[in-house]
Amino acid sequence: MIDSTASVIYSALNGLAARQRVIANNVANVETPGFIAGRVTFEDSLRTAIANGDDAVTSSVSTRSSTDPVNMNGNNVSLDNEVVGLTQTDLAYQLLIQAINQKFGLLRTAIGGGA
Amino acid sequence: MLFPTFQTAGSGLGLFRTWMDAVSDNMANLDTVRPTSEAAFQARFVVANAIGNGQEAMTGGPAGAQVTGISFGDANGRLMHDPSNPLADADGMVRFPDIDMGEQMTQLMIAQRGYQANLAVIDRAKDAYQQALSIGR
Amino acid sequence: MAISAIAGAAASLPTVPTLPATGQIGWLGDVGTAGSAGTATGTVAAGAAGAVSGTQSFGQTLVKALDGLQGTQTRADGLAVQAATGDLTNVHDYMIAATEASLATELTVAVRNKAVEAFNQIMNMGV
Repeated sequence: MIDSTASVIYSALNGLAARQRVIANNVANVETPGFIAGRVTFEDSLRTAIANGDDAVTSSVSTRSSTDPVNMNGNNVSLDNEVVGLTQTDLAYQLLIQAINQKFGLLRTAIGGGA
Repeated sequence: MLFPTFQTAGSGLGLFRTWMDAVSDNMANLDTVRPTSEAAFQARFVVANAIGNGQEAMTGGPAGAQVTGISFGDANGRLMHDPSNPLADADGMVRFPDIDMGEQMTQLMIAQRGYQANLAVIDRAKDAYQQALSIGR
Repeated sequence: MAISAIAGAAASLPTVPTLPATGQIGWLGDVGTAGSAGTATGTVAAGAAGAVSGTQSFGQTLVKALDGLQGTQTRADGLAVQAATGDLTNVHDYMIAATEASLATELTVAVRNKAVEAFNQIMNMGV
């Protein structure tokens, strides 16, 4: 990656993309009996890597089972929570895309501008 | 897989559509009478299972839900006394299917909600992917 | 978090990447080959605006981009192949790699052009 900030943004993009995929899986299985929703975590690992001064690539994206209560079918997917999570995830993803574009824009300006 | 979320949500769409088809089949046959010598019209139930495990969903592997089979309801149905019916036996009994309209309507609403939720996932994911495609422009 | 970090990088927009003012003029053979752009920049004299200190992250950025040109192009190609065969999971992976590769190429070309310009200026000076 270009510099440490871009590396952090890139790791976050990967984490958000993974979260979007797991949310899609949860929504597809909203009525499957016995299905337990998945949750993706990467922010804590990323925060730790930044605080320690490590390169963001050392942070990890992991998935765990949700601990929400199950309904009569043994299914614990809450459609409202998943839709809210999906909206947040996708907008955060778009924001970080803007951020990485801005980093590239700076480079481009430095390359092309000035004598 | 390129754009794995579309596959996942698509599998959900397929599942809920099959469920809605089964429910409409049941509702269409609410009054299908059979003689007592045969089995009653059996309600159709969709058996759903998750595809892959949650771990694979995160890395873009197979994910979503699928129909793994159709199961059938009670073959005995409800015995009703209707001597005027041409299919009635010696005691005037016929078999009605054991299908409750209220329960089927509830299932239809649940299936519809699930279908729409998967549509929303596809729509949102498309926005995110399109934004990613504009990196560097 | 991400937003404040970017503001910090923008504030540190520097002048020119590490071009030491050494006064050497013996590098003519290296001009024009993208792969050795790293060497060419290291010995340009005229026009050098002074070395950027090592702690300037943006300056380091430009130098790293020069050095890694071949690597970025290979990586972008590899990801493009994956995208074509449908094996690419994160589409932003390819877009970022492709942009990096194209920017690194533009940077190399720009540096080479500046170096040639500087050389010509020197050659045009009277004795």
